[in-house]
Amino acid sequence: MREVLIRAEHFQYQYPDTDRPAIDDVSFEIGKGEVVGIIGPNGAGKTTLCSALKGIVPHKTGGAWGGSLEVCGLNVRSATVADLAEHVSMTFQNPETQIIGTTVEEDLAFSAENMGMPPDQIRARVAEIMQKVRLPEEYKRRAPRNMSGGEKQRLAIAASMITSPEVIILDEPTTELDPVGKADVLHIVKELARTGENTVIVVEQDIEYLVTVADRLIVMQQGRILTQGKTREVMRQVPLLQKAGINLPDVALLWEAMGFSGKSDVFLTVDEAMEAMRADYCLRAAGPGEKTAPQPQTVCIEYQNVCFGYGEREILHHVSLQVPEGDFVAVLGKNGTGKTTMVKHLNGLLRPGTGDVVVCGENTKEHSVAELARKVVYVFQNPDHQLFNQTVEEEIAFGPKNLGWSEETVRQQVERALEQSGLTEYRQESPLSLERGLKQILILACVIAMDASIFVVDEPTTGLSQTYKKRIGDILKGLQASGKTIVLITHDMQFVAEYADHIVVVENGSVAAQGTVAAIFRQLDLLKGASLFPPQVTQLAVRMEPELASVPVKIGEFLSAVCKRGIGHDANRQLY
Amino acid sequence: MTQIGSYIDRDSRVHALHPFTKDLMFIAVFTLALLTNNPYFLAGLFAAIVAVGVAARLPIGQSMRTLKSVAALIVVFSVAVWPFSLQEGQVLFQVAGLKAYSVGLVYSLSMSLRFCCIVLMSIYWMMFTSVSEITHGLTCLGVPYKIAFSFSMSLSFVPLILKDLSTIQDAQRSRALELDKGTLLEKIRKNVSILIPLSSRALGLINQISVSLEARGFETKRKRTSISASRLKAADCAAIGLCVGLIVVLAVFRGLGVGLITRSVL
Repeated sequence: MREVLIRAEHFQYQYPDTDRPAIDDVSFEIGKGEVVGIIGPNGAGKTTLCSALKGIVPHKTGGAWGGSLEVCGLNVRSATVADLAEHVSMTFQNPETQIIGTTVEEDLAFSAENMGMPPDQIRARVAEIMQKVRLPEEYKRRAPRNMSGGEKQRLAIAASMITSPEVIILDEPTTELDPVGKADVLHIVKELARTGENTVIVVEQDIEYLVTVADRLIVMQQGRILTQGKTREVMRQVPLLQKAGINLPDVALLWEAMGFSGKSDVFLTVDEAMEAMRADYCLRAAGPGEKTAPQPQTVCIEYQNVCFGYGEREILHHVSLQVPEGDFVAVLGKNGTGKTTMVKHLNGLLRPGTGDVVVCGENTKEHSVAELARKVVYVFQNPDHQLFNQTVEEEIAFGPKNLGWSEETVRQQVERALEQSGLTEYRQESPLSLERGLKQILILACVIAMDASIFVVDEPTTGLSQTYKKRIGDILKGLQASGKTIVLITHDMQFVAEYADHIVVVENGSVAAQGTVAAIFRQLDLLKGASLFPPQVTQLAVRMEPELASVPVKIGEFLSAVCKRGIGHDANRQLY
Repeated sequence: MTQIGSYIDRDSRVHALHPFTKDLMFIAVFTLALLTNNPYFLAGLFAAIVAVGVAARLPIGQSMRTLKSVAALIVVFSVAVWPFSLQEGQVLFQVAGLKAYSVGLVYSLSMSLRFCCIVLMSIYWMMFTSVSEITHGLTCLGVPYKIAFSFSMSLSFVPLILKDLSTIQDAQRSRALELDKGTLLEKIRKNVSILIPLSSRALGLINQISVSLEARGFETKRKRTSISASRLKAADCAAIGLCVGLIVVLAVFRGLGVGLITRSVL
């Protein structure tokens, strides 16, 4: 191994006022120039571990500490945060709160100014670092607030690198970004990995890209290290990782399910899977019964030539769209393209400039948001924007009470929502103390109790591990089964493939395409234009059989369609 | 979309001034507006501020609209109250038994102008001075760095909180909350559903910001440098001279009572 830069020995840490350690007896070494991915479900202790490398834990948080942790020759426990800041940089999930300067240059200069670097040297370094993260020179005087999410995150990474730290920690740098931003940031990580000057530690939920750049992976669960090693060594342990609730790339799941484990090394990319399957496997058209969602007849959402803008800037251009009752439709597109503006018209938060939006036969222009809430409910992305009650029960009752229902009805609806969302055991808990995944389920429960017919759900799975994603997906599917219509905004293509029936692609304020999930996902060019990337199984299938009429979008579909050349349908081992 | 009160980068003479000069100009306008209540002078000051805005190539129309939305209520209030409450000069007319006085009327005009001067200068100051410059300018004026930084940081925190406020309102309205309906007590109770998430979000944001400040070496013991540091130029000296000169002259006038329309109120 290369020179060891970080060494943890039986390291333990417990936050004040908690009953179990956040980090529980972990030991590992990280060498100079390595790119290490730290993965694991929500609450596994990943962020705490990174904060410890920076000394924020325990110097700013207090709490109990055990074992030893050494970073760049400094003992974290005896070094100060300021000492460590010179060796270790860290960027966080939310780019908004990391921006300090009013211009890109100012923001980049901040750390260097704190370190007392002479202004001329800072200016030279700013130019150098901007090139490194591919921010064009004219951005120097721009206001970071007006830049896209990916650009902001790149700026945050650049700002943390300005003082040339040896260790760069990126804590979920792509979680809040759209696919374009994700690709942007990962490109930077790739660059850093290529030069090998820095040690890079990346925490991620979505590991599809991470596995292609990381030298090693450390998998955490409940504060402990579940497994660690070279990326491929770790990825081979598919069942273990699945059990831990990690979002695995489709190709790794295929590798396991199709019995490649004895024959070839684990697939990390579509290319690798393609290489291994090209010779021996082919796909046959998916059998009937694949997507037999009942064909609903009544239209419950209709956009009639809707235009909308703020001031002179038009955002939606002549949107016309129909969604039948009982459908599960995913609205896809990159950030800033008008998805949210479009769906905010459904419950009257926005009213069309010209044209009409009709939901369940009512024109939204003629009703208040509160009136429309009887038909359409809207679940915002971040639970922290709405939770405020003492208990889960009271939180769920808020909506029904606003609707003016009798006490008895409110009680019944709350019971139903608790049951449908699986939150009954938490009914007396404080909403704010729930963990993130449960909060997300709670805000869903809050609107289930309002018994509307249309559910608009904005990015419900951001930053959640597989276990919670599945719970949320199942709840939405359950709602659909009881006749509700679901409109979902998301960047999570695996989630769309698993749960949605139809897709609407929004591009530059217009509907660029709409159709069944399989029909849209197979149009790789269209998706690329909208900066979307279909699930790996679909990418693989389209490359294997470009002419295939109905392309698989889920692992299960792929497995039932794949067969050995000349032998027939064989490889159909069930995964779940 | 340009946010109100956020920095606008332009290649102008005003932008090129030293941060110290920019901060002093803001303080000077504030002081001058309070030192005199002469409407002619205040009108002149207002015109001078607009001229600064033009010289800085700022969006004048947009800033006037912002001024209108902020100042409208104060102006209406001032015009409705002062002529009747400041009982000096001639009685001009009577409304419902209340007498309107001439000095009071002029004073209401002065108060409106004062307020408009201060608001407009604040808008422009934040448009042509970046956060780092505000901080650096304040440290030049002798304010300790941490206090100067916290002040300028809190200014840039406002748009972030406003954005959150509108999201929270939308989120609760989507849960059928009707803020504008009901008795006063009910309205207050309804606002709890906005205020609790807002304050917990604000605390969360502050916490996140302080962690990222920490992460970027805010607390090092080393002597800080600043890329906004530069030497004072001729234009700075002229502007500083003008500001200081005007403040001195008006302070003397205030003491002597020259040019004041009344000495009974500020």
